[in-house]
Amino acid sequence: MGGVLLWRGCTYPAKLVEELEALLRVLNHAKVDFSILEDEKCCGYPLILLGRRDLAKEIAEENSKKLNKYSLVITPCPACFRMFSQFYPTLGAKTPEIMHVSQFLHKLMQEKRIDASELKPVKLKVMYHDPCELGRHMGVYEEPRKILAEIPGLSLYEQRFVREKSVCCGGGSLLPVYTSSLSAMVAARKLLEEDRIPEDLDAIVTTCPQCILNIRQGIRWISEEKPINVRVYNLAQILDMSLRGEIQ
Amino acid sequence: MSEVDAIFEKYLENLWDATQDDFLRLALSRAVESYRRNRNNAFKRYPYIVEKAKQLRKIKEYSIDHMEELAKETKDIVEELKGNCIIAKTPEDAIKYINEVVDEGSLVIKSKSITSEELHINQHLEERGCTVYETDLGEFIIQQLKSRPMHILSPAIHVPREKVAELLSKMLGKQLPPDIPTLVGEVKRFLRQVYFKADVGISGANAIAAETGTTFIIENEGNAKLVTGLPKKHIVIAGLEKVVPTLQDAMLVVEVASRYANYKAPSYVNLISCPSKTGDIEKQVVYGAHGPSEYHVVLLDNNRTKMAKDPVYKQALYCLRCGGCLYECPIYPLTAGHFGYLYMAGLGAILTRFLIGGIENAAPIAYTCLMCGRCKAHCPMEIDVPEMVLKLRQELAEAGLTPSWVKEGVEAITGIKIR
Repeated sequence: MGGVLLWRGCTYPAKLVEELEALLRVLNHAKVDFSILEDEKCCGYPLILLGRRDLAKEIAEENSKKLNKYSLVITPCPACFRMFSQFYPTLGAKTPEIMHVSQFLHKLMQEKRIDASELKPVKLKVMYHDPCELGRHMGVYEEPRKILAEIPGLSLYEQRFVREKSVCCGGGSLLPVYTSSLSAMVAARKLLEEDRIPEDLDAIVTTCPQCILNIRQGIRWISEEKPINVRVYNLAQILDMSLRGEIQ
Repeated sequence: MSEVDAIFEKYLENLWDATQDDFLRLALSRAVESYRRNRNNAFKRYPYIVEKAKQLRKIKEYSIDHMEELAKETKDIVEELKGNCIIAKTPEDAIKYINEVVDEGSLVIKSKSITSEELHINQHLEERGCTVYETDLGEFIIQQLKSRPMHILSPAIHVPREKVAELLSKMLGKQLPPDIPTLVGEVKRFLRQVYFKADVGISGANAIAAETGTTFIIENEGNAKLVTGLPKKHIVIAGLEKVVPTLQDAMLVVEVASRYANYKAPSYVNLISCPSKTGDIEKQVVYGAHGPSEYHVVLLDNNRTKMAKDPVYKQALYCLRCGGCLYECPIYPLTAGHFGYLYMAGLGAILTRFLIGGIENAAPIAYTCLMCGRCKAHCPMEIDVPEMVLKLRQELAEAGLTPSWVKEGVEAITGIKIR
C-alpha cells in the first residue's frame, strides 16, 4: 500500500467548498497523486472534546483501517491533524505519516513542485492567524509563514500576539456548538482589541476551517455596528490566487 | 430538566448578560491593557524573573509531592514556637477549630483569603453572633454590596466609582462624590476604628515556609499588616499547597507571584512566624507584647491531597494566584467572573470541582473553556490547563454530567448518536 490520502475533514466539504476547491487546484497543479475517501467520516475529535474517549476510540479504530491503506495522510483541518497525530496513538489506533496541508504545501515548494517562478503577485495586505490546534497544540508555526513569504506582492500585517501567544478566535472546543454568539464575540474582540487589525487590511489568512468560519462570524458581528471589509481565506487560496494570477 | 442542565442554563444566562454589559466590557478592557503594561514594565526591569519562575516550578513540584510531610513539619515548628497549627481534613474540621478560637459575638477583621471562602467562614461566624469585616478595599466593596468577586486579585474590578460612592454614602450617612481618593479615604477612616476594636484577625497566605512555620502575605494596601498585627488573635487559613520547604523558597513565591501579578514590588510582604513576644524584663518571655498573643495556622486539605495524587490535576496546585491567566484568556474579558464559580476560567473549573462548588458547578466552566492553551503560554508555572480541562470533561461525561446542549451540538456536527 502507498500513496497520499487527502483527508478533508467534516467542515470543508460541508461549509467551505470554494476553499476546498482552491486546495484541490493547487495539489493538481503540483501534480500530486492523491486520493479522497468518498465515505470519509468524523475523525472523532469532537467526541474527545466532549469527554467521550470510549466513543472516540471506536471511531479511531475504524478510521485507522482506512488511513493505513496509504503511506501519507494530509489534511487541511488542524483538529483532524491533531486527532490523528496526538490522540490516535493514545487510543491504540495506528496511523501512517500525518501532515497538515500547510506542511505538505511547504514541502512541495521546497521540492520545487510548486516553483517560486510560477507565482504571480497577489496584491493584498493580510494577517496570518495561528490556529490554536495547529500552533500551540501541534507546534506548526513556520510553514504557513514561509509559504506566505514566497508570495510576491503580498504584504503581511504582524499583529501584537503571534505564535504561542496568539489569541484564540473562539471557534474551538465545542463553544460554537451551543453558543455561537459568544464565539463570534470572542472573534470580534480578538480582531479589534487584541490583533488591532488596521483599516487597510484586506484579508485574514489562516489554516483551520473552524477559524475561517468563526472569524467570519466575528467580522459579521463587528460589521453590525461599523461595516468592515475584511475577507478570510485559507492558506491554499492565497497560493491558488498566486498560481492563477487572479485575486478572488 | 436535569440538575446539570438547570445549572448550565442559569450560568449561560448570566454569561450572556455579562457580555451585554458595556460598562463591564470597558472596565475589563482597560484592566487588561493596564495589567499588560505594568507586567511588561516589571519584566523589563527584572528580566531574570522568567528564569526564577522555572526554578520555582521545580520547588512547587517537590512541595506538592511532599505536601503532607511539609504540613507536618510546619505544624511541629509552629507549635514549638508557641503558636497553634491544625491540618484540617475538611472544611468542617477547620470550622470546628475556628469556633474554638473565636468567641461568640467577636469582632472579626479579615484580609483577603480566597481559601477562607471554602469554609463559608463569614456566614459561619455571623451565625455565631460575630461581626465580620473584609478589609481589602475590593473585598470590602463586594461584601457591602453583597455581590460576588469578579477577579481573584481585583474582586471589585466590575464596580464603577459611582456605584462605590452610592454605597458608601448610604453606609456612612453622608453624601460622597464619585472621587476615588475621597472614597478610599472614607473607607480608611471607617475601618480604622474597627481595627483597634477587633478581637480576631483572619488572613490567608501566599506561601508558608515549613522550616520556620512562617506565613508570607503579599499586599499593597497595608490592611493585612493591621489585620495580622493588631487583634489579640491571628488566624491564618491556607491551603496545604501553599507550604514550601524553606524561607528562601517562600521568598521566591513572593517574587514570582508579584511580578506575574504585574508588580515591580508589592508595597508590603508580611512575614509572621509565631505570637508576638518580649523578654525585655529579666529575660522572662511574655507573649502578646505589641502584636497578637495567639498565632493559629489552619492548613486546609479539602481534597488537595487527592488532587496531589493525580498526575494531571496536581498541576492545579502549582498555581500562585497571580491572576495573569484571566487577563490573557479570550473569554474572561467578555464575561468577567461569570465564566467561573468562585475560581474562574479553565483553571477555575478544576478548582471548582475539587475545592468549592463541586463537579456540577464545574461542568459549565469546563465546557466553556476554549482549551486554547493561551493561559499556559503566559503562566509562570506553565500549568497545562487544556490537559486538565480535557480530563475533567471525561470525568463529567462518565458521571453523566455533560450538559444536553453540548451533547446535542456534538450529535449535530458529527452525525453520531451519543449513547
